[in-house]
Amino acid sequence: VSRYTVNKAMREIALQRPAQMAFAADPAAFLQGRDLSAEEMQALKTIDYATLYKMGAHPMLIVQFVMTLRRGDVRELAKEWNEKIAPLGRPDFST
Amino acid sequence: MDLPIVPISTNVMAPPVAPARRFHEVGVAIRAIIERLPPELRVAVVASGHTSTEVGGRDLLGGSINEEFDRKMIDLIDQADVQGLLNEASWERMIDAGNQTPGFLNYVLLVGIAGKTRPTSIDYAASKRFAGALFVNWEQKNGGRFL
Repeated sequence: VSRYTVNKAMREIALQRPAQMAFAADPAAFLQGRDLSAEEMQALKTIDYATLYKMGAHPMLIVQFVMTLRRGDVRELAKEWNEKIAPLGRPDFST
Repeated sequence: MDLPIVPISTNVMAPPVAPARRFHEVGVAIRAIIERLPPELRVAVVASGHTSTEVGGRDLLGGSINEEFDRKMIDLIDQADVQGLLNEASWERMIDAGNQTPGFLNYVLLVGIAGKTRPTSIDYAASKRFAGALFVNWEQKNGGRFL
């Protein structure tokens, strides 16, 4: 169930400007009260996309979440992303 | 232009996603509805989908199409081989070809609407980035009625 909650939080941040600003300003406050495990909460707060991916969050939502919040050169991100994600295979992302 | 449109959404992205067989059945049902419409109506079915693709997977910017998968599916559509298509378009097989490949299921739905007829035209362009582009057209004879 909480995998869905992770997806929902990422979707809100990716699609809604106020949610994006609220998360950027205070991730813990934004996530407060959501039905998330400590690990999920931590991965979202730190935008730890590799852990989110490994836990089975939806890959497309992870991309949108990361891209919405990222700063800097996307090619740098891609290099780091590919190094981290490629070894993880394709975790089940059903909810 | 006063053009009535009936939008239909399918879930091809967030599992659990219905199996290919169900997409095909929905297509068959849509066709049955269209056939019951007044004969003077002209009906076009337009759908979007995609062939193999990967988003948020192992290659963030490069996309990742599986041309072999695409060619095989295109051949099955071209041959109007419904059973072959349903066998090949399993969730596992599609995910193996790319983590967002189930968007292909909208083509399976279209095949259900088209019936057992072969497409009048089919074009495919493999792209190094994102998904390949697949265009399929089924022109209907008999004024759009299936006889």
